[in-house]
Amino acid sequence: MIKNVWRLASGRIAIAALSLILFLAVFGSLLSPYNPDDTVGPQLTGPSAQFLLGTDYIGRDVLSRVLAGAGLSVLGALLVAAIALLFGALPGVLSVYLGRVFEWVTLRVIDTLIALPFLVFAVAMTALLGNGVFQALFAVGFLLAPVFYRVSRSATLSVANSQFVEAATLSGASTWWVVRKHVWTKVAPPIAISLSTTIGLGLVVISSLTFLGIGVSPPRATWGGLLATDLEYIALQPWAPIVPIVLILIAVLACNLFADAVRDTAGESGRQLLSAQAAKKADKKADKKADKKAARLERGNSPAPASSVTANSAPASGSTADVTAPAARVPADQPEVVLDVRDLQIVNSIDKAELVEDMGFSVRRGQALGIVGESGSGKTLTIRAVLGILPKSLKETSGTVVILGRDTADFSKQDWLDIRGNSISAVFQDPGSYLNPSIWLGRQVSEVLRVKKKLSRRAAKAETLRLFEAVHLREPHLIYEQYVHELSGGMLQRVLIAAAIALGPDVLIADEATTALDVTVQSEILDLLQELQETQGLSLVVISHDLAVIAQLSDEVLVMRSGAVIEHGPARQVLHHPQHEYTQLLITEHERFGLDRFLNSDLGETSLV
Amino acid sequence: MTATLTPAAPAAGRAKKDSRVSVVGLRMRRLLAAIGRILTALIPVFLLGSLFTYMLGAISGLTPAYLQLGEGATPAAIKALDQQWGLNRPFFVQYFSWLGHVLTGNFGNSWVNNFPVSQLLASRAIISISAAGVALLLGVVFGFGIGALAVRFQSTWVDRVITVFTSTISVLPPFIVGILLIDVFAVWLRWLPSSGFMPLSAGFGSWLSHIILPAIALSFDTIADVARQLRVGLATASRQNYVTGAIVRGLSGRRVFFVHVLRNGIGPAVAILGLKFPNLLGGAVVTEAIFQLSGYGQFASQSAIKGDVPAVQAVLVISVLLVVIFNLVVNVILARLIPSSASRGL
Repeated sequence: MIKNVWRLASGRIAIAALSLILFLAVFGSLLSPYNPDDTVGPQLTGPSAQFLLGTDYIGRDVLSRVLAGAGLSVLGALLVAAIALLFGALPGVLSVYLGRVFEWVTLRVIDTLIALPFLVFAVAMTALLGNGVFQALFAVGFLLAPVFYRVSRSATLSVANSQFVEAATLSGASTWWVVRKHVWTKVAPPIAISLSTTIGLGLVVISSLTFLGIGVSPPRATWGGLLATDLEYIALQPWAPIVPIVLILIAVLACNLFADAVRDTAGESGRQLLSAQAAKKADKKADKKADKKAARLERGNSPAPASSVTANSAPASGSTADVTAPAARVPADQPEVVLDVRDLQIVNSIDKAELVEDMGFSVRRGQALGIVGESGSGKTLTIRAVLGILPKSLKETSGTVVILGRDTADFSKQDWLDIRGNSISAVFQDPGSYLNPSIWLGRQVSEVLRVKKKLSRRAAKAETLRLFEAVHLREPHLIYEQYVHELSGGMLQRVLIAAAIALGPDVLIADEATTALDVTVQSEILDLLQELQETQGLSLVVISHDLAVIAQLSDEVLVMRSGAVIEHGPARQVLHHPQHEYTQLLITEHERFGLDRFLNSDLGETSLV
Repeated sequence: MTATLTPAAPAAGRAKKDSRVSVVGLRMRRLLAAIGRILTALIPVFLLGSLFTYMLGAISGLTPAYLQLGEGATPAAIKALDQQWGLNRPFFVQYFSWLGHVLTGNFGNSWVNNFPVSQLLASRAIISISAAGVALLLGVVFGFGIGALAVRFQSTWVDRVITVFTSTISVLPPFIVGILLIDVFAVWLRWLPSSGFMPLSAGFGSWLSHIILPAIALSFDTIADVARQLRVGLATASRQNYVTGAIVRGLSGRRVFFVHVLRNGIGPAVAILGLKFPNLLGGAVVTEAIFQLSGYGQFASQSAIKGDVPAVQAVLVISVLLVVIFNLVVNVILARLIPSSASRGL
């Protein structure tokens, strides 16, 4: 741990400063030119060759007193931290093992100790218990204990609950080895961080107490006591407090810097930081280039089969005319195209990786397009590009997205505001997270109506209640005033759908909208989407890794893998006669889990309608 | 296909009245739950804090005899005095009788001069409350201001300068800041008085000039923590899915920020105020010594050195009470701001 901290520049500064302060504390009195308690010169002189920091109000050498004060101040801080560790860690560890009652009581005590006005209690405790050094250390250590209670408790909990300890023990490792190898590496950094900050805090508190003349009384030299006398003569020697102040600040800042360095270098992120730094140091440009090339080659490998497939599906994705939707469902004159995406390419602008390429599809009014593919295949990125909400680091490098005949390439902010919600909207997986936890659910729907449709408050509420009924929510009045944490996932998805269709959009994108809901709720939501498609003429883009979902809703299916389209065509054709082996694989996998039901019933029926 | 179209029968036709009643029920349940959560967090803190305070007096071994009778007291005289003060009763009887008096505003009499402690404290409290209040105000105003700047200019040099600034001032202890402020503003620039207090009745300018330096010394830690929590809170809130959700619904960036991000994002900054308040109160002990204000902090340390147990206990229990009340307010604000935030107590 120390070795890692040393590798950071800030860590080296912290360690150097702490060593200096510790050196002063231990050997300070050996270096002092005079006896710190003796009058050795005239009163209140300025710095001179004889008295480097001048003399105080009874002619004692200030430098000697600063050096003598280092011992008590710094060692006091170390002792305080040690006492706090003892008082905190012991009940912290035991709270995990000694049962509920002990746990509850200690937790309440810790809550209380944290809430106490610290310094007043430290002063009162020290003075009432006898006003000595020992009492001061005990009082401050006791009041600082909560930090260590919490750290040791969470460390113990993580070890007690962790499976790796069990796994390692089962695989025959000795307990001691497990503790050293796994537990210590997890527990040591937080304890080191707390110790370091507590030492800094302890120095401040001990100095505060001695400044007040509590715990240690004059003439004994402490940094706090020195500052108290400096303050009395501040009009005569305004520079006098500087030296103790600088020493205290160096010590406190070094403690915090050290804690930060431990925090930065601990754990997985710390390892990355260190290796990144090492890489920077070994800044061999050639090396770097080679690395990059290798990385690109590696990345190039995975989309390779996909690109060979694009040829396969090229005729399908090339133009919408080629995509013949199921004949039975489409009237003679085809409905207008509401969403048209062509040759879309999305690139990570940082490492230039191609995340989506040659993506293309179009959706007609009232139709449903299903996009299927494993996670990471670029489904969600594609629809984020369609909605204009790609993360900043990703760029649409080529291709067009046309919504209701308007090319989004040169959309202004206002254009996006006009089109989102009004023409195109979306619902997502984990619906609760897409609704504000602090605002009534109903208000979030009526907000859209008030802002975008300029409805009055009352009209917006009435319309919201109507929408809640339309998505089959029971007791709309009640739900209007409920919060996210008060409803189940299925109900939240209905609310999210109500918000999405509030303005009557033409296209609704459902990105994994039923994933993680349980099976009956899932089919209810799918039914709802289908109903909205039919009653409101909504066009759907349904994105899922689940073929069953796609099969139930889609007229047309698009299969994605590694950022590219590998198969695209009418749902029946893709699901019944998959051309590409990956699609075939998906389907055979699914057949085992009941895809048959959908293939035979739903799609079969669809063709008959 | 059409058969699958009607899912679980919608309860659209349900009587509106029923629904109204359950809406009221919902509100009541929520209110009671919030009150319950806040009280179960705060009452143990007050009880344990007061118990700790009272125990401190008991284990100190100090008695009024020690203060009033001196070294040569006869055992009989000591016993009589103990009986007079009720100190021969069992500990918990004493504690609950003291607690009952405290809750009715009677903080007992000083062992030194038999004066009611509440009288001794009343005039001093205004000084400490002035300093802590102004410090809290500075903490809120500058904390939110600096934090908002950091968020506005996120990951630019402004943000980095603010980060360094806040992490530096957060470790500067009040008594060091206080000495430096006196050095600069009272001794060197001679702009402000270095010590003393003027009541508000003597004029706002005069009051402020005496209280501002102690308040600044106290406020640094609060400013730094509020700014940091605001920065982190807003940054975290603006990354949440509900922000994406609001954008997709077609709401403007301004509206998304002010309605959806701000409300959730300031939660941590408000919560940290509850944690910082004890420091503002406790710090009084040192700042009052530096600026020679005879507030309750000075009273506490002087009484403690003298061994005047009831006086010390009164100050301590009042400070615990203030912390609890302040946290009650913070928790109510938080519960209104972010209803889902389970109150984590103090």
